[in-house]
Amino acid sequence: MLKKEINDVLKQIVFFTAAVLLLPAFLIITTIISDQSYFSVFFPMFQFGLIFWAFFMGSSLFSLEHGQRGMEYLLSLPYSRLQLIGFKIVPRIIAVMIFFVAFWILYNAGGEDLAALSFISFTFTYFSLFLISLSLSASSQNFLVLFVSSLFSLIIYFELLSVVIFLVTRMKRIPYYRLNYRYFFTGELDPYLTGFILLAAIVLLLPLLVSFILSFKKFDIRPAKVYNKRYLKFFTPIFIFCFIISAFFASQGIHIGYKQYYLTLDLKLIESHPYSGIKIYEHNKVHKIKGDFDFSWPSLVDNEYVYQIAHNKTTRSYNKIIRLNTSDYTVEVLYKGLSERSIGWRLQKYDQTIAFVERKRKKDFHDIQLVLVDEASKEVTRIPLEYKLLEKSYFPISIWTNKTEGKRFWLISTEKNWKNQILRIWEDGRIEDIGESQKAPCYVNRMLISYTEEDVIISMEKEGRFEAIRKIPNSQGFKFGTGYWRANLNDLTFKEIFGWRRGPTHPIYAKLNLENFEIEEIGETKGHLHYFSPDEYYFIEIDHVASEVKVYEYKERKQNLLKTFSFNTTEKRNRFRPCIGGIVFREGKKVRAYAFPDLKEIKFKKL
Amino acid sequence: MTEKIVEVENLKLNIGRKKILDNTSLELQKGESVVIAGRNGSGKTTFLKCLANVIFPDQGSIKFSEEVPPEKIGYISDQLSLFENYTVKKGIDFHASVFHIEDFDYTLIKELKLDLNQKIKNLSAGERTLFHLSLILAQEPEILLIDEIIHVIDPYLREKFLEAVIDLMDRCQATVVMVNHTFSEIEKIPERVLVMEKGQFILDEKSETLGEKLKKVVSEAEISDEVPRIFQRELSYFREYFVYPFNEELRKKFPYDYKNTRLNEIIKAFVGGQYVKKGNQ
Amino acid sequence: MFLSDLDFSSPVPIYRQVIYLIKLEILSGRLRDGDQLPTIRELAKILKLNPNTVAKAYYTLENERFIESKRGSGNWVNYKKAKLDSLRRGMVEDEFRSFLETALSIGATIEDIKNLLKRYSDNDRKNR
Repeated sequence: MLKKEINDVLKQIVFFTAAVLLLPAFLIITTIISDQSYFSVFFPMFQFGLIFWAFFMGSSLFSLEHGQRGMEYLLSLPYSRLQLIGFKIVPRIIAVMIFFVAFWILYNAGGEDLAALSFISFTFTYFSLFLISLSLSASSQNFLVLFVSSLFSLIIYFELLSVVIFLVTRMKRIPYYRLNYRYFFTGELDPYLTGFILLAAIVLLLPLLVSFILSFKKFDIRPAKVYNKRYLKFFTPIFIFCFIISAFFASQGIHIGYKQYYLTLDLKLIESHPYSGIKIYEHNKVHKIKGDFDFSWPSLVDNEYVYQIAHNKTTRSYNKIIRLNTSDYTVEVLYKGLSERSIGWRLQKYDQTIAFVERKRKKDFHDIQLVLVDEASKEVTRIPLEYKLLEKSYFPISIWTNKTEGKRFWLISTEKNWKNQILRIWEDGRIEDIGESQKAPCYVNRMLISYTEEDVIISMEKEGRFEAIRKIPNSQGFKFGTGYWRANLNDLTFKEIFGWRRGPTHPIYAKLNLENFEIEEIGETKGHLHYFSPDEYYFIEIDHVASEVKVYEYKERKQNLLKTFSFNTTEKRNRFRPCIGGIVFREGKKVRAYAFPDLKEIKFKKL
Repeated sequence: MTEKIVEVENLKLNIGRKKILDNTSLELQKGESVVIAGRNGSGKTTFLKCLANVIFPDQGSIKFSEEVPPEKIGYISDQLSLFENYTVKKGIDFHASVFHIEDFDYTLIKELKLDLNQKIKNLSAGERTLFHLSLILAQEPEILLIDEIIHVIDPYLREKFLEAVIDLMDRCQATVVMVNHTFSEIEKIPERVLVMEKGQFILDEKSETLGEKLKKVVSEAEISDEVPRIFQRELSYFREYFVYPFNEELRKKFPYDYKNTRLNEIIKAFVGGQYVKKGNQ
Repeated sequence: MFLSDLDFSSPVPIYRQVIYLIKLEILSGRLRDGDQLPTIRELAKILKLNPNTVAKAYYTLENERFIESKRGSGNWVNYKKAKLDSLRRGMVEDEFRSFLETALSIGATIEDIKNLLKRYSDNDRKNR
């Protein structure tokens, strides 16, 4: 019996192959489009041919028997119905796989540019159409009916899948746009999500398949109506069940992110869950604030407030600044810009003023403004920036602020053609071109640190202008910085700052002494630098191979291991986060917080 | 001799709203030969197809004894269903491989002078039937199910067909179930006669005793209403009564001329009786 | 041999009719002592009978000691001469009774039958 089926399928394969190979050749000959290569005509046709092939392999399960009045004979053979399906499906699955492999080879051998459907959407369509038409194959003897109903079911199936995804996003109050599930077809989503969506998709396909198998168990030569009625009887409950399961799987996969934790300066733990609000944990209490916001990646933190740039639900632009008061638990919108404008992600606070750069999201990229928001009055001052200097540059990201002779100014650096342009913007709207730097500049202890190819240039203000006071050779190409997440960094005085460059395995760090302006190379370090305060810093090394994270402190020219965290570092649900107040470490569902400077664990009873 | 080989219990089957089988039950013994008769659409073919596993009843069970595995059931359908695009040779090879038949007996094929390379669909109905029978005989079936096909075959092939069936009955002690309504050729074969009506068996008698239980009275005048009958008809010169159930007491009480009848007529009486009933309803 | 047809309409069971046929063959001398009978299958095929019917007939005949079945080689006619006479007598009587029944039912009298018998036996003597 299996031999017969294999023979039948082989014949169909030969026929299909011949048709697919010859048709484009025939087309080329008849149209005499000699400049088109055979392959370029062949491949798109092949792809569509395959879609038909998937349908044909699925729905031709019984066509040969129907065609030669052999159905009754087939059913009277000493096989159970399930065995019959088995005999028929196995060679067909193999045939479908063979052509899929052929497609895969051709796709990689130059077919990619010619393909009418992307690899993933083709794969998905190909196999689901095969399974759908397989499931419907016993429902009718008429090929046209099968073809139409299979295509129709395929469309319904795709629609249902989006309905499932849509429902889940609604249930989770996730804005639908955040989960552009079309990414699923282009494969751009993360494997975790894709895996679950795939699972949801497979589960959604099961009702057809399972009811096919269940109802075929009693398939007989009675009119198809009887069989279809039984099919529907099975289908309805299975469908409802699978729809729920599918939604369950989708809900496992669909999420904007897990709960995120942030440890503030006053050692409170903020738990943000996207779109459902936040919880603030203290030693033995928890405060819940509902709302469509999170504080998972604060842009700015000081002793009183945590600031977060938030986005507009519908326009997807980050045009809001919200502020959380960690002592009285209030969240308020500090600033709301136009929806077509977007806030650059670094905020800077000086006195009572929050400053940031804002630009249009579409078209007029050069329409850039420096926005100053007074914290108390929420008054907004906008200073348009002369765009010529910024044309075609990246988003200006770095702002430092200070006061000279009672007048406040802000420093902005933009990257353009691998060079950094530094501008100074005065409160009154004046824009001053400070010059260029080879690497991203930094402003510390009222000193501007910029770079030429070979040197580090230290500039200080003299008579209202920046003047170079030091030139330190920097042939190794270190890049110095102070960290940026803390408010009023400019009020802090650093004795030394760190710079780093890429090393063979680990980064190589150097120290820049801001008193005698000497660069002292530390050499290869384990981990990346994390500032806590000007003279307190840690190195954090993430080792994916050993599955651990090590925290070192740097003292007396030595890296001392403070603590080792062992966990599966590649697992997405595990997270190791250095925050301003310490480190938050999540493993699975367990969350622990360790405070700087000594990384002592802080217990939150309600967590 | 009384070894149960099939037990059919309470089969129910509908097609649409029409009841085809209605609580049909039957037991068959090993080696028994049975004929099922009945009106068109009485459910006999469907019943046979249920035995052949070609139709599943909606309810009820069909239990075959252990010595009847599925490959020991031979079924010749009224559709003469075979893979008709196959050649005779390929059809034989396929059947032999499915039923694990090692040396196929070509005697019947040779007697019929069938061309092995001929396609099955080009065989005549009679040739096709005998070809199918030869396939089934090679299975050495325990049960042979033959649907109404005998009448489509010409007399020569019909004789061959019957001889082959008789041969099988003796050789394998096979149980034979025939669905039929033309009886002249086969009337001496069945040991048991079943008549089906509206999905139920309304008659189940040993053919040995059936002749004693059913008599025909031909008379010009009407006979007493107390004589039980299943069918009567008025012809231009006389009336025909089919008396059932008949016993000698009846003869003493109502001394008519009770005549013996042939199976053909018996069946006709039963089937006709159902038509009359239907008319009365 | 066995060209006579069987009559299903007769209330006599078929196997009895088969027995009768064989006995007729024996009495008429077409089957002699020591002859081989056709196998059950052959006879069933010839007469289009159920093999069980034939088997039953053979079995009864064996019990009545007209035939002998030898395992593996078939059935053989085997009887004692004396048995034949009583069989003949019995069968003639049976036939005569059934003839009488028919004759009486169509209105003949015993006298008519005696006359008929006389006429036939005279004719027979003359022909000799």
